[in-house]
Amino acid sequence: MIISVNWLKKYLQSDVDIDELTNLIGARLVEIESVTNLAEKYQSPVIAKVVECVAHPDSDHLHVCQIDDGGVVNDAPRNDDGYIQVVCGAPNVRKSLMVAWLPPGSIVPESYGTSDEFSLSSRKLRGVMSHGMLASPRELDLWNEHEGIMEISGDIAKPGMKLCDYLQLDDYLLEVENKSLTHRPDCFGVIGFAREVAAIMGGSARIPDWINNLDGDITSDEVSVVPSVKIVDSSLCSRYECIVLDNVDSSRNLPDDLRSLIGRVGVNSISAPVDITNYLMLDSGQPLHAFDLDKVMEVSPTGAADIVVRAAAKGETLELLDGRTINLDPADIVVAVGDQSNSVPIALAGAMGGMATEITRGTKRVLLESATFDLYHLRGTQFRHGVFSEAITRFTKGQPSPLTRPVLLQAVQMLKDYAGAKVISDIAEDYPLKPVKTEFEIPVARFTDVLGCYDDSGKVSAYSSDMIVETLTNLQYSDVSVKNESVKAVAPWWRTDQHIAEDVIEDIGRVTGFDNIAPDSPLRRYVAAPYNQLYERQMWLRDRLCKAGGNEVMSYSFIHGDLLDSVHDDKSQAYRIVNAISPDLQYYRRDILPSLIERARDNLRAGYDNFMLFELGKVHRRGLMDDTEPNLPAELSEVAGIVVDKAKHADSALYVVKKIVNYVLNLGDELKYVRLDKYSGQLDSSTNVYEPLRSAVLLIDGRYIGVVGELRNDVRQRFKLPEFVAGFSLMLGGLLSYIDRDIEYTPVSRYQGTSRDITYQVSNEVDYADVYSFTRRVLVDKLPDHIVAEVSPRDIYATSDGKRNITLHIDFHDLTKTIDAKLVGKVMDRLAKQSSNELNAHVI
Amino acid sequence: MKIDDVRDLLMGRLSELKNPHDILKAPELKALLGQIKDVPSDERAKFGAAVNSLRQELKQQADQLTQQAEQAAIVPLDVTAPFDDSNEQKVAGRPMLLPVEQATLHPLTVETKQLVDVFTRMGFVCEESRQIDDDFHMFSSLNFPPNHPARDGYDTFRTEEGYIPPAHTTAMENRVLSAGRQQLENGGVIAHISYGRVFRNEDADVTHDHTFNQFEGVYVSRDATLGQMLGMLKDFFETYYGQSLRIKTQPGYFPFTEPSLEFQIEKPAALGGGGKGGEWLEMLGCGMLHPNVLKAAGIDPTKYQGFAWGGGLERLVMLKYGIEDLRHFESGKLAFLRKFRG
Repeated sequence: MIISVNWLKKYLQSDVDIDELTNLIGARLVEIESVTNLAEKYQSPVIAKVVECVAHPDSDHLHVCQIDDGGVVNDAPRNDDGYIQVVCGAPNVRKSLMVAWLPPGSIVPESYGTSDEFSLSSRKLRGVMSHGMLASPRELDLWNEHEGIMEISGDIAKPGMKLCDYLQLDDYLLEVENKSLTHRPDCFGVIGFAREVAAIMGGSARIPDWINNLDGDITSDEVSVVPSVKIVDSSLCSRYECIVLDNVDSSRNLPDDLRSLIGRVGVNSISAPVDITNYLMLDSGQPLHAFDLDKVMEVSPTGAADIVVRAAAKGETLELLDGRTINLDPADIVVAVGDQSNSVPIALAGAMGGMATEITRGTKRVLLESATFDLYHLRGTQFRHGVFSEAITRFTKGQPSPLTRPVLLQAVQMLKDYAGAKVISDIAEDYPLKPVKTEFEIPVARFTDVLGCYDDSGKVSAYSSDMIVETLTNLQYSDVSVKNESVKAVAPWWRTDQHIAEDVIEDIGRVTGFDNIAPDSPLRRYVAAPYNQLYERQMWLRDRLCKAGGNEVMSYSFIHGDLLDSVHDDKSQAYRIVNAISPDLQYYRRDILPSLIERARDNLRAGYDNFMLFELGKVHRRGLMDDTEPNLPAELSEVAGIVVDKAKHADSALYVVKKIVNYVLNLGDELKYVRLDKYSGQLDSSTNVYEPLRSAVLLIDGRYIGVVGELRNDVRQRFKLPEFVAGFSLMLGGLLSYIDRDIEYTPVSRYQGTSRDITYQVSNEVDYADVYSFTRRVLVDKLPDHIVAEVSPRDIYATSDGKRNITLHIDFHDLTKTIDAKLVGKVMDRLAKQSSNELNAHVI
Repeated sequence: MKIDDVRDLLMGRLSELKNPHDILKAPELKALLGQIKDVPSDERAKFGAAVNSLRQELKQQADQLTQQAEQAAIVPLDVTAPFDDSNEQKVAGRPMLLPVEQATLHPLTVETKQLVDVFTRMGFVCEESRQIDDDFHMFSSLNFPPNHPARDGYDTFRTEEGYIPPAHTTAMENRVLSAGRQQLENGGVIAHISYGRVFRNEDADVTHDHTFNQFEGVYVSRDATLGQMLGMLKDFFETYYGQSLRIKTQPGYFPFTEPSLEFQIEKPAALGGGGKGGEWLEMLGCGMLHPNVLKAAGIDPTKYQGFAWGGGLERLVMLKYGIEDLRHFESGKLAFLRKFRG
C-alpha cells in the first residue's frame, strides 16, 4: 500500500520532518519498504498559457504555439513579447489554454527513474523550432490520459507556477508492508493511518467530521425510486445499504489536485463518479460499488431494485465486469435482485460487479452500495475466482460495519458537488448484526507483567496509569478511566482488531515504543539442557563422512516423478504435491540416493572425477505413519552417499563404499552384510536402484539398517555415471541405538605374541564371512580366556579351477605370559580339521 | 516372401547374432519394407502395418536378448568380503578412503551447529522440525481461523492427502508446548528451539527459494515478558557474533503472537558491518505468545505466558560469506561446496 505523506498530513495537527515521521512509523506502526521523494520527479514542469496557436505550415495536425511561462524559466529562447515557441501535436491545444510545459533540459516525468529516461531539448519539428513540450497527464505521470495535453483548470493556476506547487507534488510516497497490517482494516485508509500516526506523535488526529457521522441520514431531492435490501444470512453480510442517484455525469472530472492525489498512490483517475468512490475508499478504507439502476431493474424478477444478499446457489453463473463468466460456489456471497424465493445475482459481493449492471458512459441513474461482507468468505472467493483488487484487499481485512453510513453520505455529497447528481431515493438498509462495544478492564500492573519495564532515557519503571490513559486517549478510546488499579476503556468503533487485553497491551507497548522496553533476562533454574541425541549422532556421522573424504550436500525434499521411475522406484508410494511449482518438485523423496545420483551426474559433467557426495535428511514413504503422531506420515531419517570415480578400476566400487560405511559406523564385526538377492526380508521399492548381485543389505543384530552397493547398469547408463560407482542408503532409526554402544575393552598384553596366516581353499559358493566367522568362533571356543586372537583378512584368490583361497592373518597374545607356540599350533590344526568338516575346506 | 516366413526366418537367426539389434538391418526385412510402395493402394495400409509390427516385434526381442546378455555379464560379488578376489589376471587392491583434504561440511550444517550450540548453552532443547505436517499444526493451533487473510502470507503446498509441507517452523509450536506443559506445572520452564526446512510455493531467484531453513524459539514461564524476550535475543546475538550489538524493533503481525514484532540488530562485523553503525538487519519475527496458542496446547494463559521467535538461516550464511545466490545451497555443486571447510 502506498501512503501519500501530504494526504496524511491533512489529518495531522503538527508538521513533522520526513525522517522523523518515517522512523516513528517504522518503529511503532508498520514497516516502510521504501520512501519516494515525489518532488524530484516534478522539478521542471511549469504552468504556461497558450497565447498564440497557429497551424504548422508543413503538417496537417501540428500547431505552432507561443506560450507565456510568466518569464520564470531561464535560458529559454523568447520572442520579442517574451513568449516561447513550442510545437504541439495534441488535438486539444488552443489559444488561452492553461497547460503544463516541460522546458528544454527537463525529463519527461513518465520516464523518470526508468532505465530509459527521456530528456527534452530544443529542436526543429518539420522545420519549425520547438522548445520542450506541452505534456499530457500520462506524460506527466499523473493519470493515464493521453488523448490530449493536460488542460489545467484550477483557479489558483497562473503562468509561471510550478506544477509541483499547483498539485502539491512536493510529496513523499511511503510504500508500507501490507502484511503486518492484516489485522488493521482501519489503517487501510489514510484517515485510520493518520489516527495512529498522531497518537504515536503524542496527540490526536484532526479527523474530518463526516467520518464520525455514524447515524446521519440524507434528505432526498425527490423520491422516485424505492430500493429495498434483504440480507438472508447475517454471517455473510452484517450490513448492506444503498441509495439511488440521478443525473450522475460521468463526463465530469474531479479537481486536478484530487485526481493527482489518487493517481500518485496508484489508482488511475477516470471520471468524477468513479474517482469519488476510489478516493473515499483510499481515505476511509471502505469500498463502494455502483450499479446502473435501470439495468438492475431490468434484470430484477420483481422489476424493482430489491436487493437480496445471499450465498450463491450451486449451478449459478455470473458474468463479471472483466468479461469472465464464473461458476459460483455456495461459499461465495452474491448481491442479487428479486425476492427471497427468486433472485438473480448481479455482483460477486465485495469482489466484482456483474456485466449486466455495469455503469457506462450513458448511465444516468446509479444505485450506490455501501456494505460489509464477511472477510473469511471473501477470502475464499478471492482465491477461488482470482480477484485481486484494492477493494477486496480492504474487505478481506474486515472493515467495521459502522463505517458504511458515513462513507455513503460523503459519497453522495461529493457526487452532488462534483458530478451534478441528485438523490432520488431514501437510504435502503439492512443491518442485522450490529457490533457490540468492546470494553476492557485491565489491571495497570498487567501491562508491565506482559511488556516488561519502560525505559525512559535510562529511568526504568513500570508502565504508569498516566501513560496508559494518555496513550489510550490519543488513540481515541472512549470512557478511559482508572479505578482500583485497573484501567477501563472502550475501544473505538473502527478497531475491529481489539478483542482481548493483550490487544490493548500491544497498543500501549507499540505506540509508546517497543524500543523503549528495557531488555531483561529471565530467571531460570540452573539446569543443563539435555542434548538432542539424534542431532548429536547426525553431527557425528557428518564428521566421520567428512573424514572419509566426503562432501556434504543438501538437496530438495521434492523430486520429479521421472526420477523415481528411472531408479525403478514406485512413485505411487510417494506423497504427491498437488500444487507443485513444477514437475521437478512434485513428489516427496522416498530415499536420498536418487537425488545424489543426479548431483553426481551434474558434478561429473562439471569436470569433477572422483568424489563422494553424502546427505543426511528426512525421507517419506506413503502409507508409513508416525509412531507418536499416528495421523501423520512417518519421517525417516536417512544418511545416503554416492562414490564415483571416472578412472578405470580393477576393483569393485562396492568394496570402497563398504570400507567407508565400516569406517564411519565403526562397529566392527557387528555389521553383517547379506547379498541383496539372498536377503529374505521385505525390501522397500527404493532399493530397486541397487544391482542385487553386487549390493548388500546391512544388518546389525539381524536388524535391517540399509543397503550398500553398486547401481543397476541401466541406472548408471541413464545418468551417464562411470563404471566405478556405488552408494549407500542407511536408516538412522535402526542405527542410532548401536552407535552409542560401549566398547569391550581387553587389556594390552605385556608379553611377546605371535601370528600365523591360514589359507583355506573353499568352493566359490563359500562366502568370506563364513570363513571369517568360523575362524573367530573356533578361536574363541578353543582358546582359554587369557589368550586373545585377532583375525584380519590377508588375501582372497580365485583359482582358475573355480575355487577360492581365503587367507586370514591371526595375531595371538597371552595376557599372562609369553605365548605358548605349541598351543597356537594345536589351535591352527584344529582350524584345519574343523574347516574341512564344516566348510568343506582344504587348508593349504 | 510372406511376412510370416520372414518372421520365422529372422527369429531363428536372432540367437546367432553377436549384436541382436543387427537383425533390424536384415535384407529380408528391408525387402519387405521396400515392397510396401508396390502393394495396391487398398491393401497398402494393412500390409504396411503388418511389416511395421514385425519390425517392432524383432526390436523387442533384440532388446530382451541384449538385456539378458548384460544381466548374464554381471559378475556377482561376495558382499561379505572386504575386497575383491584376485586371480591370474588381476591383483585386487585394498579399497581406500577418499582424500580427506577435499572433504567439506555444508555451510548450513555448520551454521545450524553454531546456533544449536549457543542455544543449548543458554538452556534450550533443540530439535529438528517436521517436513510434512497438517493444517492443525501449520495454522489452526496457531490462531489462524480457516480462510484467515493472514494465511495469505504462507503460500503452502499440499499433498493429495491434504498434508502440508510446513511453511514455517512455528508448525512445531503446538507440539513443543503440549509436551512441555507438565514441565511447567512442575515449576520448570519451556525453552525449546526447532530448526529445519520449510517450504513455500514461490518462485526461486537469487534471494528466494521454495525450500529454506528456519529456526524457531519458544520460552514459557510464569512471568515471561517482552522485555525478557528482547534481552534474551540481544544476549543470543551478542554471543553468536561475539560483540556487543544494538537492537531495534518494528511492529509486525502474526496471529500466534500479541504483541508481534520484527527484531533487528545492527550489522555485526562478522556479517560485513564495518562498525560504522546505522545499518540494520532484520533477523527474525517475534512476540508474546497469543493466549489462544497456549490454550490450544492445554496451557492456562492466566497462569503462564511466553514468547516465541523465528527467523531464516540462509540469509545469515549468505551475509557471513557474501554468497551471491541462495540457490547454491541446494544445488549440490562441488564448485560451491568445496569453498567451505570440513
